[in-house]
Amino acid sequence: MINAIKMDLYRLYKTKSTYVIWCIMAFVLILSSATLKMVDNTTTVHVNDTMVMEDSSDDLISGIKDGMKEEPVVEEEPINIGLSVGLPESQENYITVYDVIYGNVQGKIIALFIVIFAVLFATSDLNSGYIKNIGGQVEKRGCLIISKAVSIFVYTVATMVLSVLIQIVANAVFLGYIKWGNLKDFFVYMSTETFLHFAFACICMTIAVLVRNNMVSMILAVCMTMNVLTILYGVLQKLITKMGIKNLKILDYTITGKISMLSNHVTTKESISAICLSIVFIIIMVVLGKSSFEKKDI
Amino acid sequence: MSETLLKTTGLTKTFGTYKAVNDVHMHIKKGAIYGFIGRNGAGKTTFLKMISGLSTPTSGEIELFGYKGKDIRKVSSRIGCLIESPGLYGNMSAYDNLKIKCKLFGINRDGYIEKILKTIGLEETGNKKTKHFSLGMKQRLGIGLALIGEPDLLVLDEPINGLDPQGIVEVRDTILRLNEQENMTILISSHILEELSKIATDYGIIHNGTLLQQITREELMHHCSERIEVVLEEPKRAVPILDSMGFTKYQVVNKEHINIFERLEDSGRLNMELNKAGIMVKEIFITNEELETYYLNLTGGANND
Repeated sequence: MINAIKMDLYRLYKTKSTYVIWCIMAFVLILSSATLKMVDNTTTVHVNDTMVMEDSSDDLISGIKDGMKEEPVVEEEPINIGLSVGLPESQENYITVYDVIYGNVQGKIIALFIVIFAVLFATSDLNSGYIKNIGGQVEKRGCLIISKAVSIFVYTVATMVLSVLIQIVANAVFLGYIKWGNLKDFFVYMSTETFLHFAFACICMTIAVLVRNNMVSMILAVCMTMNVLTILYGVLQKLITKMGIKNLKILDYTITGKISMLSNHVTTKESISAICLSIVFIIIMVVLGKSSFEKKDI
Repeated sequence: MSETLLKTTGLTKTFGTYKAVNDVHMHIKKGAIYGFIGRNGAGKTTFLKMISGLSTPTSGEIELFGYKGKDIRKVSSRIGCLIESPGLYGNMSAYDNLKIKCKLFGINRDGYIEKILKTIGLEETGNKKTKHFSLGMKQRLGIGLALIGEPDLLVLDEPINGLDPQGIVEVRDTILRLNEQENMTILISSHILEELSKIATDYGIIHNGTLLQQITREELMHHCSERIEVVLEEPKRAVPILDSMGFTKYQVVNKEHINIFERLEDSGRLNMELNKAGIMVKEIFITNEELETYYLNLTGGANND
C-alpha cells in the first residue's frame, strides 16, 4: 500500500496536468481579482451575500458582469444555475483576502479545477494502458484506488494553499493592500472546505473509475460543480415535502450544497457537521471505487 | 526433471455466450521458452491476460509457482507482462515510466533503471517523451517495464510487432539471454512463426479458444523436418525392404504413406529396391513441412478465415 502511494505521489509530481491546471486556476483567480479592483473603485452596496454594483458607467457594469456572474438581489434564497462568485457581507471599507477566497470557494471556482484534475489523474493509467503493467502484479488491486485518493488529497490541500497564496499576491497588486480578515474564521473555514473539496474530488474520481470514459466523467464533474444537480435536488426536496417530512433539507446532506452554504463565520457545529459528511462520502466513494476496480477486468 | 512453473486446468473465459478461451489445459516447465501460436482472435491475448492477473477466468484453475486460487496473488509480483500494445505515459520519458513501476515495487537501487534501459537499448533517449517514440521503441520500453522486479515468468504478447529486422534480432537475443543467464521462463505469443521457431523450446497452438496441441521443439522439428515421402500400396510390404537397406528412422503414416527421415540421397536406390520386390510405388519425393504449413494444417488452414 505504501509503495502504491509513493508511486502515485511520484506520478502526481511528474504529471503535466498538475501544473497546467494550477496555472489556469492562477490566471482565473488573478483575473477575478483584477475585476475586483474595478468593483472596488465603484460605489458599492452589499446586500446579503450578493454584491450589487452601482455605477454610472454602463460599460463598466457590463464588463464586470462578464467576469463575475451576477446574482439577483432577492430577499429569499437565490437560485443559482452555474458558477457564481459573490463577496460576503462586510462591515469594513476594504476587501480582505478572506472575503475574496470565500467568494471563490463558495462559488466553486477552486472546486472546478480540483475535480478536473481528479478525473484526469484517476483515469490516466486506464486511458494510457499503463495499468496493464501493474494491475496484475499488486496483491490487492484496490490499493491503487486508495493511492489515487491519497494523491488527490495532497493535490487538494496544495491547491487550497496555492489559491490563498495567489490571492494574497493578487490583493497586494490590484488592491494595493493586504487585509486578512478574521484569521480564526479563515483557518476553520479553509480547513472545512478542504475536506469538502476532497470529498467532492473523491466523488468525481469514483465516477471516473466506474464509467471509464473521460468525456462523460468530465462532463458530470463540471455539471456537478455548476450546480446542475440542484434541479434534481429541488425535485427530491419537493417529493420529501409532499411525503410530510418538513425538516429535512437535501442540500444539507450534499457535498456541493455544503461547499456553497458554509458561512464565512463557521461555527464549530457547522464545521464538524461538514467534516463528518465529507468523511462519510469519502469512505463510501473509496470503497465503491475499490470494489469496482478489483472486480472488473483490465 | 524440470518443475512445472505454470499449469492451467480447464481454463475458460466467456463473454456472454461467446467462449474466448475454452477449457485450456496448459503446463509450462521452469526455464522454458513457450511459444504460443494462434491466429488473430484465437484467444491468445485473453488467455495471457488471465495468466497475468488482468482478467478473471470464468472457470478453471491456474496454478502458478505452486500456488492456486486466491493464494496466487501472493506471487503475482513474480510475473512480468507485456500485453497487447505497451501502456505508457506519453508525456513522460522512458526513465520516468520505469521509475513509476519501480516505486510500486519499492526498488530504489542506484543504476537499476539505467541497467534496464541498456538491456532494452533505450539508454540514449534521455528526456524524450514516449509519445515521440517509434513503435519499436515503445515495444522495447514495454519489455523493459515487464522486466522490473526480475520476474520469474515473463509473459510477452507479440513483442516483436512493429519492430524492424534489427529490433527483432535484439529482442530475440534479449529473450535468449534472459532465459539462459537469468533462468527466466518466458511465455511468448507471436504470429511470426519463423521467429518463434528460432527461440521457443515448447509450443502451444490455440485455435478458436481451444488449445489444439502442446508440443516440444524436438517433436515439432520432427514433424516439419525434411524426409522422403513414399506413396505406395501396402506399406507393410515395404517395411522389410527398408529394414534390409538399413533404414531405421521411418514412419508408416497410413495405408498409403511412409515417411523416411534419413539418408535422403538414397531415395533413388530405395525406389529401385521396392520395384525389384514387386511393390508398386505411386510417388516418391523429398519434402519438408514449413512450420506455417504445419500450423495451418492443424488449424484447418486458410479456409478458416
